[in-house]
Amino acid sequence: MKKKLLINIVVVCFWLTFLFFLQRLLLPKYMSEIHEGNMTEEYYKDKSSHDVIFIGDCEVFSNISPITLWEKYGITSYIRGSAQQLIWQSYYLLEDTLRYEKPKVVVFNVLAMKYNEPQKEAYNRLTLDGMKLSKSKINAIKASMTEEEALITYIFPILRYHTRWNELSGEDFKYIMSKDKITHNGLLMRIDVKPVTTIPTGKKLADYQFGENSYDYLDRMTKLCKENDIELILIKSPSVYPYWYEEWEQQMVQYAKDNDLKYFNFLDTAAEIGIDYNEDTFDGGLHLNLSGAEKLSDYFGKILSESCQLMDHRNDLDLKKLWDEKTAFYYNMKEAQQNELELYGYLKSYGAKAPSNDDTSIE
Amino acid sequence: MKKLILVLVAMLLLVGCSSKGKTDLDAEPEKGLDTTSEAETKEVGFSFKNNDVTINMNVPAKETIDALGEPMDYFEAASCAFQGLDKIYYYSGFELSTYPNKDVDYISSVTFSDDSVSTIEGICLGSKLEDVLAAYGDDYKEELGLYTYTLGKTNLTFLIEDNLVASVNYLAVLE
Repeated sequence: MKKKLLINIVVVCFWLTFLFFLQRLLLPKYMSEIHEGNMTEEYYKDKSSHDVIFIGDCEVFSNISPITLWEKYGITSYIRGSAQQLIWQSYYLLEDTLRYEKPKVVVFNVLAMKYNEPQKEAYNRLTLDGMKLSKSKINAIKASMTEEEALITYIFPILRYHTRWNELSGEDFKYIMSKDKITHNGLLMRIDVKPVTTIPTGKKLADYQFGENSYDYLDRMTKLCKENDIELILIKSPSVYPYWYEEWEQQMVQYAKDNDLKYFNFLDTAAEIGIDYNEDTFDGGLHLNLSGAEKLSDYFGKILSESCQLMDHRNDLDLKKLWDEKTAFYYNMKEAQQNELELYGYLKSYGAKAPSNDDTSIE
Repeated sequence: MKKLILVLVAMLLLVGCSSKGKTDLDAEPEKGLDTTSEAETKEVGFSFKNNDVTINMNVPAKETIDALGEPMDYFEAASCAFQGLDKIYYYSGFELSTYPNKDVDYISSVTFSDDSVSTIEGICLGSKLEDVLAAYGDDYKEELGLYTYTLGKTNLTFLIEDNLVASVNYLAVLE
C-alpha cells in the first residue's frame, strides 16, 4: 500500500515537472524580437526599491530614462510599462508593485484613457503573461480579456501556446529557464533616429468624453495611491501621435484639479524641454529615442526632485554600487547599438525593421 | 492513477485548442481579413471615387495607391511592439489609410479633409443632414450625431454638427 502510494506520488511529480518544463519551452521568449514581451517579468529580478514608479504604455517605456534620473538627481525609479498597456492593466500592475515596495511617487501616462474596452489578445499577452500569479493578475486578466479569450489559458499558458511546438527555435531552448536583461529599469533603449515629417491632425470624433471604465480605473489608481500615502502624478508624454485632442486635455486638467493631482503635458513644453523632433525620435514622433528620453528625464527629474522632495541617493554607497552597475549596462548597450547602426544601418537586434529604399531613417 | 494520467494528457490535447489554432502572437495582431476567392465575389460595400479611381475598403492597397499617383504627403505609424505599419496617404481633399496583414497593405479608411471631394452619391463636408438621408435612406445607426451606414464590409459614417456634415469616413469592417 505504501509502495503504491509512493509510486503514485513519484508519477504525479514526474508529470508536473514535465509539464512545467514543457510550458517553459513553449512560451515565447521575446529575446530576438518583440522585446516588449519581457518587460513585465523583468521587474521581479530587480530587488531594490524605487522612489518613483512609472506606469503606462510605450510612451513611458520609450520616453523616460531611469539612468538619467539617477545620474542627474539621484532618483531611483522603475518603469512598469508595456506595449499598449491599458489603464486597468496599469492599475493592477501598480497593485502588484505595492506587494514588493512602496514608492513615494507614481507617474501615469494618460494616453491609455482613450481605451475604454479590452483591445487585442496579443497586447494582453505581452503585458500579462509576465505577471506573477496573484489576485492582481487574475483581476487584470479578467478586465483585459477579449470575448475569445479564456482565463485558464493565462493561468496555464501552455494551453494557449501548445501550438508553438512546430515553431520552436534555438532561442526557446537557450532561454528556457532564464533570459538576458534587456531593459534599463524598464526603459527599452533605441538610439536610432527617424525625424518627424508629417504630424497627422486628429479626425473629428462624435464623442470626446473618456469612457466610464477608464475613469473608474483612474479613480481606483488615485484612491490606491492616497491610501498608501503615494503621490500620483499624471503626465502626457511628448509623442506627436496618436493625436492628443484638446478635449482630452481639458478632461485631464479638470481631473487633476478635482483630485488635487499634478498633471504635466510635455507636448506643450517640448520646446522648453529641448526636444528636437528631427533628432529625438526613432519612428517619426511616436516615441522618443534615447536622446529624447534623456532630455525629458532631465527636465522631469528636476520637477520630481524639487516638487516631491525626493532624496538624492547618490551618496548612499549601497545604492551607488547598484546603480553604477546599471549605468555601465546602459552605456554598454548604447555603444553596442551605435556599433550595430554603423554595421547594418539599422538596429537589427533591437526591434528595428530593415530600412526600405525610400526609408528616411538616419543614424 | 492511469486514469489520472489519461485525463492530464487529454487536457493537454483538447483544452485550449481553439478554431484559431496557431498562436501567431509574434506577428501583427490578426485583423481578420477574409481573402478567399469566395469573399472577393461578395459585395465590396461603399466605394469612393476620386477622378477615375474607385477606392474600396479592405482590398490590397497597392493598385489603388499606384493609380492615385504621388500623394501630397505620407505618414506611417509603427504598431506598438509588432512589425507592420499603419500608413496614411494624403491626397487633395482626402486621406487614405492602410493596415498591414501578412506583408500586404489593405485599405482601412478614407477620410475627407475638405469639401473639394464628395461621395459618389454627392455628399461632401458641409452638406445638410437631409441630403444625407435623401441619398442613403434611413437604414442607419445614429449615436451622438454620428450616422453610420453599413454595406458589405464597409461602414460609411457622417458626423453631423449643427445639421451639417462635419466629417465623412469610409471604414473597413474588420472582423
